[in-house]
Amino acid sequence: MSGIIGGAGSKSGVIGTTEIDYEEGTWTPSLSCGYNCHLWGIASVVVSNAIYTKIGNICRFSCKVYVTKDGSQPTNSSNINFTGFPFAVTHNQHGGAQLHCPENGDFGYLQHRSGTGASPLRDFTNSNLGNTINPVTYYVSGAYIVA
Amino acid sequence: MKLDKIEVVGEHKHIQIREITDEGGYHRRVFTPDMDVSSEVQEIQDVTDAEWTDEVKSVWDRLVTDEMLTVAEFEAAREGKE
Repeated sequence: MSGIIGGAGSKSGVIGTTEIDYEEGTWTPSLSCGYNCHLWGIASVVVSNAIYTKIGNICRFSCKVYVTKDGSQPTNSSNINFTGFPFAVTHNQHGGAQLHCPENGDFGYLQHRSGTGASPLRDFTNSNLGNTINPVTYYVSGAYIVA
Repeated sequence: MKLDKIEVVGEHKHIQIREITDEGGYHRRVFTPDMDVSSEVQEIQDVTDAEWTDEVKSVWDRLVTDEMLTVAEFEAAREGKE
């Protein structure tokens, strides 16, 4: 690579002879229950600050998830589907994301399990959504390969 | 929000759209062949009508069903080990 990355997005920089493919914007995440998932006791889930940056065929994304519980029952949050990503994904390509709760130190991840492309990242695992603190905020960030 | 771009992506005919927000930024969404687009603008419905043939929908439904089975088998195997 002999080129210089100047101002990404301004189209002033090139790598070799290829123009930088750069875009940033917002997306609309949504959460739903997957296999054997129970969102008992969840009063509301509000997702905000959902932004993405795409450079070449890599899309990086992040968002904030704010959960309020009604305290009635424990929550089994394994296999929560996380959809609404800004770009389609190549069949059987993988992506991943981290999920972190600064309030209780809870840490989990999202993964793309088998790759139909419907939702590249669709499972919370190793996390208990809002189980210990009410309300609770999760921060999500990750990346995947776009189609 | 104003529709800016419509792209048909991949063999499963995902409809990838870009919109311009009121603030002038971009907002992105992707529609898959199992989705209801009846509340979307006519341009999007025209593209889905043209691209989402019965065969495309059928193949997609099969893929989603297969994935759900795969997930169920994966979870059952994992629960069996715990």
